[in-house]
Amino acid sequence: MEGKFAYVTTLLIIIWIALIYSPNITTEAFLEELVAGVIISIGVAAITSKNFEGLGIKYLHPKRIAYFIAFFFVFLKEMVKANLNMARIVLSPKLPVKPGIVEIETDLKLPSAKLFLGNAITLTPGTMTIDYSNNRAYIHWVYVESTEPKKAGEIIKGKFERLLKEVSS
Amino acid sequence: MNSYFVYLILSIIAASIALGTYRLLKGPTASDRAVALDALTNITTALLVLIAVLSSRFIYLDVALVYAILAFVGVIAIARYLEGGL
Amino acid sequence: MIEQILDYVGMIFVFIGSLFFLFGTIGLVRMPDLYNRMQASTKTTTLGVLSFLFGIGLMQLQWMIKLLVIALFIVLTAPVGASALARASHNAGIKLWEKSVVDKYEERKK
Repeated sequence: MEGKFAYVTTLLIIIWIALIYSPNITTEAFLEELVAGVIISIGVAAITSKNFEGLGIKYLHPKRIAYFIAFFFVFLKEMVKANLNMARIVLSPKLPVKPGIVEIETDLKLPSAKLFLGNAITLTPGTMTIDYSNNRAYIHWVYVESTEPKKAGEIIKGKFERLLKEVSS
Repeated sequence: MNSYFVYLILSIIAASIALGTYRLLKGPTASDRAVALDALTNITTALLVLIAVLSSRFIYLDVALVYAILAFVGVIAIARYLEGGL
Repeated sequence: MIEQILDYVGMIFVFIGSLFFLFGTIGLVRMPDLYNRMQASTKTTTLGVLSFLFGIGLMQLQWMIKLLVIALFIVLTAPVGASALARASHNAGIKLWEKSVVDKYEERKK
């Protein structure tokens, strides 16, 4: 409980500093803003921190952070690939699409891990998360390669899920 | 920045906005219009940042940030409305 | 010298970003149904904004932190908004394109 509160407060203060930073701010003004930010962060964290799941000091283990950074880079690479693919589909005269909504299963337990998986699926090649119900996700696919949940899942979420499992387990 | 380069970028963005506006006006359903509006919002955010650079005012970046936040809230509100929860 | 090089690299990123806007809106006009349009526009304009902001940040290095905050915010919210809109439209009864091969979500609702 206490860990969660400290975690949310620190996160809010970091976001606040990123927002108030500007190239030629005076030290005095920066300190004033910082004090206001600390007070507001503590207030907001006191009200909201009990609603968050999957936060806490134990998630700051170096191994988890390393896997999260790996996830981020894989995500960036897949995103660039997705966009080149989409540009190719959009510009080709015959418009090679074969759309459909498929169903896949995921083993991830934490809601925040599921959110990251869903966002990663939406921004990568030809797939878009439409809905979650428990551990099933419904994915819209521009070019359906398989309607079998296992096989489709392997194609769509393969790498991401393995990395996120290391982060969240 | 080279001014020819600025003209090039602005003309590409103008073409994209024209195409997006076509879908916004024609779109058969309300959701099509919402999707077009979402795309136009992203383009407008980039345009606001470009304006900030051209007039070299750091403070204009806050406008872009607030615009992006409000656009997200707007899309969520439209989605809630379509689902009948508003 | 280094500033010049960063300027040119930044210009390349800005150019790529605006090209992706163009591709996204071409997809918006050409794709046959709502869900495909959503895929085309969401993905490409998100990467477009990322690339655009990163390019501007390379030109004005002092602005980089704020630009990265804006970019991070857009990357986190764009897919959430798209998913919410897609689910709402599906529940509101907007059909897939008639040549779609499968719709597991419709089957589940029955």
